[in-house]
Amino acid sequence: MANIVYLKLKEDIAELNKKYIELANEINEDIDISESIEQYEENLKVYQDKNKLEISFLGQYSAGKSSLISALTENQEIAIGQNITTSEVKTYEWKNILLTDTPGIGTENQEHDEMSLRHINTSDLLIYVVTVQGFDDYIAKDFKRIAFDEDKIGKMMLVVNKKSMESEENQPYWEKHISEVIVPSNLDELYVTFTDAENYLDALTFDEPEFKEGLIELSNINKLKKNINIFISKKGIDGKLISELNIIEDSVRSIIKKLDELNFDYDQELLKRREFIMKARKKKFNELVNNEMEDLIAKIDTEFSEFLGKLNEESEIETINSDSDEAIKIINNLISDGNSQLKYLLQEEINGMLSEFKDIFNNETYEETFGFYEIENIGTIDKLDDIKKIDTEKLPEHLKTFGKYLGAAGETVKRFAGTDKGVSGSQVHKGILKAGHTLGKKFRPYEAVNITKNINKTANAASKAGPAIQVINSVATPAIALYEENTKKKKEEFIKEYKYKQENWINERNKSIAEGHMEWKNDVLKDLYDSEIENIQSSLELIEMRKSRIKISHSSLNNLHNELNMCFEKIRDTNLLIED
Amino acid sequence: MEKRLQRVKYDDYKNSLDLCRRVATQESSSISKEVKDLNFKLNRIENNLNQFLEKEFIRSDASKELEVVLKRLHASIEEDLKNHMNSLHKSISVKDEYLKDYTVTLFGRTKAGKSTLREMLTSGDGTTIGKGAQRTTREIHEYKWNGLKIIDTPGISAFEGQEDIEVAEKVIERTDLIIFLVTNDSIQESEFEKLQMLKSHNKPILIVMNIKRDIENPMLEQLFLKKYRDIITLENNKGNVDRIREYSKKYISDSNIDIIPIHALSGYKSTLEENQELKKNLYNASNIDSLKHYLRHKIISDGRQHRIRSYRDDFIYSLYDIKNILSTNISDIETQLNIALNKYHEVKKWHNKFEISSKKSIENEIEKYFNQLKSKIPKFVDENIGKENSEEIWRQVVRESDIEKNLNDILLNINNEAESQINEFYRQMLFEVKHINMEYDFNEFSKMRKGFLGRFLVAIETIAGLASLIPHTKVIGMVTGFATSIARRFVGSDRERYSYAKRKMMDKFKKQLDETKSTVQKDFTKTFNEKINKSIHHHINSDMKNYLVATENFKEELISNLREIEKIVERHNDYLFKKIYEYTFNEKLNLLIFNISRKQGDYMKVYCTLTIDSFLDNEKLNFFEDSLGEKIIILDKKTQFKEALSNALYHYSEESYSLVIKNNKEADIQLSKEAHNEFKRSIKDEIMIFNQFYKLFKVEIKE
Repeated sequence: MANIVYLKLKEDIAELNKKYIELANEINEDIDISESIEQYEENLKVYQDKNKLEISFLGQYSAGKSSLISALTENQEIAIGQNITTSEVKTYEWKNILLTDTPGIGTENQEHDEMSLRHINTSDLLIYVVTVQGFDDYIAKDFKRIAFDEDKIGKMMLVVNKKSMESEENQPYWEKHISEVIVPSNLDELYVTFTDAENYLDALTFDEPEFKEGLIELSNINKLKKNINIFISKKGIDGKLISELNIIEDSVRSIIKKLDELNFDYDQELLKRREFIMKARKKKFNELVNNEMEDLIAKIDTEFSEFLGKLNEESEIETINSDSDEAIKIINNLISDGNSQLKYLLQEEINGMLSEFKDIFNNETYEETFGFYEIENIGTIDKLDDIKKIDTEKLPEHLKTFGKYLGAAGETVKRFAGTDKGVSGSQVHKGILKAGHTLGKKFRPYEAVNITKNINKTANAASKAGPAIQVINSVATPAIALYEENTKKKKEEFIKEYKYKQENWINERNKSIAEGHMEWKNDVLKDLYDSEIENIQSSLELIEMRKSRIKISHSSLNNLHNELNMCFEKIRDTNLLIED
Repeated sequence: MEKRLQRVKYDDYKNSLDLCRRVATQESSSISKEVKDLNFKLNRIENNLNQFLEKEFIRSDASKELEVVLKRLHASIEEDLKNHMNSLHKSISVKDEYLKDYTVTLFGRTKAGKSTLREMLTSGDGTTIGKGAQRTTREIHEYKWNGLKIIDTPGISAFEGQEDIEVAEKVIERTDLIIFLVTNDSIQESEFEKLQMLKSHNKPILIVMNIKRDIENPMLEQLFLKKYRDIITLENNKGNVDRIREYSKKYISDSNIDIIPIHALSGYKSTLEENQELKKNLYNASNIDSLKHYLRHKIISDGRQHRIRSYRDDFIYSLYDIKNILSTNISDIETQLNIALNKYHEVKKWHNKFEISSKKSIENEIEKYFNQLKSKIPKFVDENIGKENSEEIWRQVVRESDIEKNLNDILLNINNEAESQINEFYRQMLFEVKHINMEYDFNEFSKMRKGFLGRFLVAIETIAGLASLIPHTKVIGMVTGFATSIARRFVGSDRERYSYAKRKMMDKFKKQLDETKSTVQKDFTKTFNEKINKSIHHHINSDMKNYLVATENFKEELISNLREIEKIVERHNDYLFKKIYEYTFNEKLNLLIFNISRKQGDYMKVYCTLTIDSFLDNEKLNFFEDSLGEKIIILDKKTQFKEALSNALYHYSEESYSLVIKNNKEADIQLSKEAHNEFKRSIKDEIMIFNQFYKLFKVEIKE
């Protein structure tokens, strides 16, 4: 019967191990918890490699853990003292059982160090040692933590040492006190044994039988030996099962702790602040550039309409030519100034952005709020490499790469002029073809090609000039040619038609200029702000996602923890009986 | 400590107790007067603060909210001070009940043996001796022994609750000497944490170690009486003694504290024993005699000093408490003020930029639309010159340009920008308030610790949304009004002059449009100023600034009151120093003390004009320190620079600053960023005293 229950429990535990491994690996994808996993693996290995039963002694420093081991093994070499004497874990062998002496609580680090913890988790059985005096709230808290919070109660025994500090007749009172402290457990479950190891060791120094025997009797060590035997036979197998669960639980708890410590508030806040700055600047810059562009178009319009306004029925063709030359010159200058202005604005924006970021990161409030916070954390914990760019040192470098746009206005001219895409398929080419059509002439393609060749020449020669210069150059020539071929027509009609067509034409040109600029602007906005804002937003989303995943992991861990607890309960309830 | 003390003649001891009583009587009347003075002084501080606040709110038109915050803060300080004075009054009257007797108080954790000791000393019947772990002393017991008053307290240990601590605090007021009872089992660090609290009252402490051992069992009693000379010793308990010394060093800066081992149970049993020899044996084994003679020696050599400390030092302790109330508040205000000030500068900086860029944006936008209109003039003139309906056509042109909507959008955009930026400031501030690390969390004041920042937030918040827009200018009218007259004038003009006239007309038209443009620009800028900028400007430069200025002034006011209290503290420290000297060496000390900087129960730094050798040699200094219970550091005029500086910096943790000694007259102290505000203030004060005292030396503090 017992064997069947045992096998069933074994299966349950194997299942829980499997669950743990799956869950831990899953979480490890998000957050580095390899330390906890390694801890688990090492503990498991220690546990599996052990071929002898192990009992670990723990409790308050100088409660007499070493004295007890010394009394049990009659090995008087063991260092015993009133101050903290056991600074490391030591294991002794006694009757084919391993007795492990751990540094007690109340030492410098209140949490047990790694080694002690390992033994507490992997030992088959634990003996918690207190003194009649010392089982105060402080020690009780430690005892309860190990026994109940960390679920070791099923493999624990409680020894109350130094009993000769108090009168024997007080023992019932102490027992009552201890029963109260160890609730919900009880004296029987913990095989509570009162001893005085010191008396036993003293006895060994006496020859007089009345002292020797009397002290041994008083020490109660023989009772302890007996109780340990019963304890082993009753709880030995339970202890093994519990240890396996303890190993999982220990790791689960350390993972939960790690998750609880994660704090994304500062990452999010920094990202939000940057996002705000980027968006505000983008808006501002967009407005500035739009103004500049619209202003330019309006100026061209004014200039051109003035040129057209001068034309009337009496205008001489020569005057038209020279007037148009003059207008084109002015417009060219406007375009050239406009382009320089755009470059200047871009330069100013980059400088402004740099200094704004510098201001923010050199600010005292920033230091006060984020100073202690290591931004590097984000990279390691979350693998969000992008956010690392928040680093103030790296920022200027990051922004400098946008300097390439300073030459971009010039680039637009070239693209506009069609050098990149080849002459005949280019936007310019089409524009010229169209211009020819609107003027009503049988426009030969090669002429258009020639004209664009010229434009390209000029464009290449004067890369500083604006996008529209060569196009406008092309206006007058066909106009004259058109007139020369239509001399029979009435001059008034011609002028009227010319004006009308030129008007349409300049509108087209302006549209092209605006499109070119818009394209440039969009590129700038995209590279200077949008990609950054996108980065920030996806980082923020990533953080949110991570947070919700952590929340899920958290509840999965809690579920696993509950299952472990249920398993502990089952072991305690089942009370596996192995016959002596 | 192991040497058995010489026996003391009872008459000598009795005389000393009489002297002690006399000192206590003198001190009692002097302190009552001082308490009255202090009360008066605190009332004056109260009035000062009240008047300051009244004045501040009449002078500035700062908002009601700030007034509420500062007044609430003031009320909390007032209440703290009042509570403090009340407990001071109480403690003085309690102390007077104990005027006659040198009082020894027993502290120690539960089951340390206090009851057993009491039963022995009072020859009791043992009924109060506890069995098992139950708490046996729930109340304060008092009894007389050896001409002393003994107070027995409830056990204190780590988790036994606030109640016990309060009891302990009450009892400590009337104590001349503390006996801290420990056992030879599991000495807990937490016991010494409590001892640290007691030590801060600067009371002399003796540790008595009750070595627990059952002697109810006849065999164990026999063994014990055979070996007690080896058992009831410090040597035999070396591990425990080492631990006690380690903790005393850590918690009460005393690595050589006196420890007397006793066996209380055999002492108690000796009082019951009929057999005279066994009785004597048990009594000797208890080692109570050592304790008795230790106390007699102490009282003969230091009794008066202890009594004067009980009165004067307790009063000084209260003064330090008052000082703490003020300086905690100051520090708290300072922390918040710094954050608010930073945000204020950020807001201000933003506003400067905002002002410029908004105006520029208004100009640009208007410029843009007028340029658009301008480009339409030649065609309009060309086509419509002289036409009757030219006015209507031009109006159409203007309407098509959508100028009205576009111009409205300018101000709307600007307003939105301001609103979103201010919201962002608000959001950031909320984050900072939430995450700010206030240093004094334990204080009553912490309940409203984020008070100023909270109020400052409101200031930022109220800026947003204030600027409602009514930007409707009569732009269309202005732009269209003049076009008609120009157009009409040219109806019927002859052809020759037509072209010229048209040219002229266009120029004039443009010129007028330009003029209108500047009018519109001015008009819009004015609207911006009045509707948007004014309220923002007002909030920043008036409301926010008033918050900061008024708070800063309040802080300054608190600081000047703090200085007043410091002066009183200094006077009493001076008095204490000289009195202790007088009682220790039986001669008056005529010494001009420039300043005393002190941490009670820890050290006293005395800046004085005489050289130390002239009144204190090394041997005397040890006695003096023992009687005072603190380390004494003398800074005199003959001390070398480096020595003087290291004395001045005694006790300041070197992790918080770095020292650069430039030559033998000058040095810089660089405070680390992580350093606590309290630390910064304290070290600044110390160096200020140092610089004032040593005019030849110069030490600068850099942050």
